[in-house]
Amino acid sequence: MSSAPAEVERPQTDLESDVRPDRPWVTVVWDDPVNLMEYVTYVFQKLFGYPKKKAERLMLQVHTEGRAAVSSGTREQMEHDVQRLHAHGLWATVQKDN
Amino acid sequence: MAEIRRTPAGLRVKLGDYEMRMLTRLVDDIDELLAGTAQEVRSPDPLVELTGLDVDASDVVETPDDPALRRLLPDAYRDDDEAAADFRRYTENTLRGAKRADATVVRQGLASIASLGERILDDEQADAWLRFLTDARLVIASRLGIETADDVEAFEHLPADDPRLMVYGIYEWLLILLSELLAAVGE
Repeated sequence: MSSAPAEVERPQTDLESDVRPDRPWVTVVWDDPVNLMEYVTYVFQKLFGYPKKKAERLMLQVHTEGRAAVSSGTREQMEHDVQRLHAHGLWATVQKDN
Repeated sequence: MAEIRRTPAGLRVKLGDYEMRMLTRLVDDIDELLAGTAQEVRSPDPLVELTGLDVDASDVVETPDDPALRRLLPDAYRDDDEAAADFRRYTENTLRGAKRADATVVRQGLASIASLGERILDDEQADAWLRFLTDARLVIASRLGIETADDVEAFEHLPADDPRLMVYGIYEWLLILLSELLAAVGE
């Protein structure tokens, strides 16, 4: 898996327990009828360094619930994640974490 | 028929004549779609509209009208038009360039296959092919009006003389190609 230069390394922790006041933004990936599930899993592994199980869980969440928060951090970090996801054909948006 | 195999040297790709022609068409179509200049809007300032003054058209960048392009270059904010426009203004050209670069990698691969019968892809090139095939499927789905899983289901039951069947066939074939490439990448 490759990573972009000057990538900010984020620890691989469970997203749900990772919400802190200084990281109030999330990247949300939305379901679409086009993308292959295995490809979406692959993109999550590749872009975020998630282990396959976590990537699959997030992919299934997108597929069954219509959306999933795949990363959290500063607004700038989330915009960077969205850019990379769009480059891979996924639709993602930035929003404040609830 | 397409043959995609992982070898010690990389991913070896072979394609049949029809597949080569289809992919070449798609590379040209998608590159052309992405090459169009970014949409620009006039300032919402009523004085500007009244006087017809030429404004700096790069002030605000709008979501593309073309739904296929809109799917390749989607909004980054759902409920904040201003943030979405800002994001688009700063990033859209880069994203167009990245997708066109992926199409170029595929075009170069097709040229090799045409002259040498096959092409060995390294990991970066294989990823470019995955992204391009994804973009191609997104554009075709948009053109076919596929927006939900139910739409896909409807296409499975088209009458044999429906003119959309040929394009849907290409859409399905691209899925198979993408699956095979992904499987080889994962080996």
